[in-house]
Amino acid sequence: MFRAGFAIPPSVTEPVSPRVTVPAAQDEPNRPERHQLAERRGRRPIGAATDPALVDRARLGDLDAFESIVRARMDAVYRLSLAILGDEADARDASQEAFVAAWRELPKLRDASRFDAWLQRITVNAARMTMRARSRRRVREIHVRSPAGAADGDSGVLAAALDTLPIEQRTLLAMHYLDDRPIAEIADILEIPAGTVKSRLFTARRALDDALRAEGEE
Amino acid sequence: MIEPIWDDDRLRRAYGDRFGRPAPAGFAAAVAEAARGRGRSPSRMPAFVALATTIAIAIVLGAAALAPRPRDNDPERRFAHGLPVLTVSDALAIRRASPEAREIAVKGFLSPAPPGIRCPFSGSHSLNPVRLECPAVFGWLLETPDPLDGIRSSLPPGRVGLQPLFPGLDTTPFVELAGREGDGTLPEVVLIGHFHDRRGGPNLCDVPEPEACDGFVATAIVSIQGQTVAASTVIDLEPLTPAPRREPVWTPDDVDRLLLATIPDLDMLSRVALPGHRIGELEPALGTGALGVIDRPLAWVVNALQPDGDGHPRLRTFLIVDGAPDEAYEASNASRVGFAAINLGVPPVSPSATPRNAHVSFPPEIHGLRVISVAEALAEVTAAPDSFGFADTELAVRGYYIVPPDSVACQLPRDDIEPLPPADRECPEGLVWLLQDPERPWDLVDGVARWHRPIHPALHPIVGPNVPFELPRLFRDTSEAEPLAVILVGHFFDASARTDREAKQFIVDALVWHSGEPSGDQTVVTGAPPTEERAVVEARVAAALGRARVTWAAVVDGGSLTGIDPSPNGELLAANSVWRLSRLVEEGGRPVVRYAYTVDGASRIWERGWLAPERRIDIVGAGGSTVVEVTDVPDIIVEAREVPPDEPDPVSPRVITDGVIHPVALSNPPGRANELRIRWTGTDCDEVWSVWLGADRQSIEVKPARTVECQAVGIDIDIVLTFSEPVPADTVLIGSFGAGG
Repeated sequence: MFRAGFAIPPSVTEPVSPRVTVPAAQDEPNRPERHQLAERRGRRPIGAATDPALVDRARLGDLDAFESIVRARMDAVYRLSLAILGDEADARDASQEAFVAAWRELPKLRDASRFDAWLQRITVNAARMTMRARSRRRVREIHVRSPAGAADGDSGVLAAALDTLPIEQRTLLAMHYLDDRPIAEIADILEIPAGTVKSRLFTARRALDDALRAEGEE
Repeated sequence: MIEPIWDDDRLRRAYGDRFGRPAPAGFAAAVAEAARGRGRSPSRMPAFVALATTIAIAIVLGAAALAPRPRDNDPERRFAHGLPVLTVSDALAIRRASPEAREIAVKGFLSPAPPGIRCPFSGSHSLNPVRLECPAVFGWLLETPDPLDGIRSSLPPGRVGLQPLFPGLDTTPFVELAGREGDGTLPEVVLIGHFHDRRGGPNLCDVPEPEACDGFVATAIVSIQGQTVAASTVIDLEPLTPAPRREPVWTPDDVDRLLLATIPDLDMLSRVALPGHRIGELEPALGTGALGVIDRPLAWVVNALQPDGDGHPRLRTFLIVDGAPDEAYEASNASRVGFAAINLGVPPVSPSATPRNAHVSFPPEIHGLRVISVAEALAEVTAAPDSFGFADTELAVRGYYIVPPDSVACQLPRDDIEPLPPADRECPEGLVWLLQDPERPWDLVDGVARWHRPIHPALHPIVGPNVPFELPRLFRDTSEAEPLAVILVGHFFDASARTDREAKQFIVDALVWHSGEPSGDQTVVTGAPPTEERAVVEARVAAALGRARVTWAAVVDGGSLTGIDPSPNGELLAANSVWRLSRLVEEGGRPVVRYAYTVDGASRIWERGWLAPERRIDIVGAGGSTVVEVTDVPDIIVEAREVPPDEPDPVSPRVITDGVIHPVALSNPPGRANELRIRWTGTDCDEVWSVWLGADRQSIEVKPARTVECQAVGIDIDIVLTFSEPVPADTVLIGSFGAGG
């Protein structure tokens, strides 16, 4: 039905039976995969999944295997912690706590292929606990906030805006916009319905917009 | 949101610039080393233990409290309630030396069972408070303050400790210390209690299970970090379903006075009130029906010390049926059932509870919601940070509502223990409570009520201006004040909350029950009187948003909406009468309240500032079906229809590919500037698509509103919107924020 110049997915003109994945047109992907999005935006993808065999070895107490996992996943864990917490020292604390907790709890992980999602959830919880500790600490600290975006452009404005959001919203935004995780994957990691993620992400984005607007006005 | 202040690419770039950096060099190695140093507990925990939940005895004390440590040479610290304070080693020596259940005071360092442990259901001995089971088996009172390495049911070599149990004791003094920063050592605690507990019914503490009676049964928490803890009072009225909940006739003070009138030198350690049918939880020998206590509404169990002939304090345990001083018993080894009747004489007390609150029976369920206690509600908000799923789940919370009199001194008491949020609201809101128990959170000082924090669990209900309570006046004067039994429906984590602090406030959506009767069916009118009947408005809203139970209806002045909703629309703000319905719906498998607005006598429906879709187009294509819902914020759409599959587009459309999920084609049919043809390809996984026309009349958001997990089959969507004014296709802005997955 669409005229020339409008990319038509093959399924439109050639119906396929249900429960069959529709191949997307090459020049105009219908629903790009996460890693494709990341590459298109000039950033590296999150990385390959952790080898379940490595996880199994670590689960049985092989510290060298666990160290390999730490080295492979550290950047992703640190990056997510930093985006949630906004502070490098806190991000280091949360990252360390996440891996120590992972090592401690690893024997309880039943499905090694679920390790990455499991580690992400531990990271989110570790960041949350770090945030709670920090909020208590701040009672006695004077929180000095630099002028938004004065020197850092968008990234500085973003950091200042995020600082005003609840941690739950920061978490969802970081998983979606930093890690490029689709909603279904976030739902899987956080063990909540995709619809809930969607509505919360929507609310979070709205709140971020308000905060960005407020930062822009300051 | 048609036009976010930053588009997604800009936002992603900013995220990448700010946070997309690797961890510091060498950090991974350091973390791996840290994990290596921590090790694992040698005893592997079964998988079920890994599941997260908080436990009753989870006394989170990873850090020590701020109070100074008591000096060991302080004579006041050498004795507790007349008992010499022993070390843990000394206490264990006494356990080995004597089978007597003799009361001792022990000082040690508390290593609680960590939070996050879920214990397996124990089919046997589950009512025996003496038995050491999970989670108590992981809690320790240690000789030295160094934390244990890992979760342990046995101690590593070189560590000395005993395993305390706290049956019937209020352990909230521990909970309130949770998360306090300290020096990394365990907090010092002084307990009173005993080994070889006499409460051993059949199959308890028998030969095959000698360890079952090795636990230290605490009868008092004397001090924490040198600070004295008040005598424990636990009012645990929760019935085992489906029994009705009853309120006590007596207060704890009444019970004390009753006992002290007969035995003046009693030193009260603890009091517990619980339903009679649960007596076996504290006194197993009575749980099978002995003395008939299980058939009584409520019973009090009181522990007290009394000096014996040698001046050594001995434990005395009393059991009194609530409101019945002639049904009093004392623990006695001479009795076959462990208790013998005692005569307390004529009680010099009069029941403190008024008839209104005595034995209130709350319904177990209302509006399809399980009615929970204040403590359970607080547990929800405490647990929520570790579970996104809780969030703004609608809760029905029973309790006792109390507001201060106008004359109350508006000064909150200082408290060294950080209260659970949101307990630190500004005065006077901070003095309004929903109490777990019908206590009176004030003292009379020279005839003036001085408010204090409730002893038992309580929260501050945040009552919006649209939910005014129409309750009997609670406070005529101080002497007649009393909390009123109510059930409030509300939620934490309100969508409008912008901070953690706000998120943890209990937002009241409705008063659904009070004075023994359901309530909330009336419409609260604070704006101009409406012309429509509530039923008509509910039906109109249901037609647009689906059927749902309306828990509260209010008609407010549009201008007041700024104080109710964070994003009111101009159409609503300008109206004199705006209906606001609190609708209980299911979202993500949990009940939540969503608010619908409509101007009285008008047709458009709004949800929290968002206009509800007014037009719905069913699309049936070769590959499946979907639904397009059209939302018209500026109210300029006259018609929305599907274009028949055989209707060609005579003009070359403008195709938009950036910022949308699927390419979208736009065109104005020749000679019809008021019509806009919109085409894109969806999938049969997208059950509902949303087409949203923004207030600027040019921004259109096209996105899937409800998508299920499935393998995608493409569906052409081709619609025409007819407007009351020209909408040129080449100036329309298209966005699709919010899609994914």
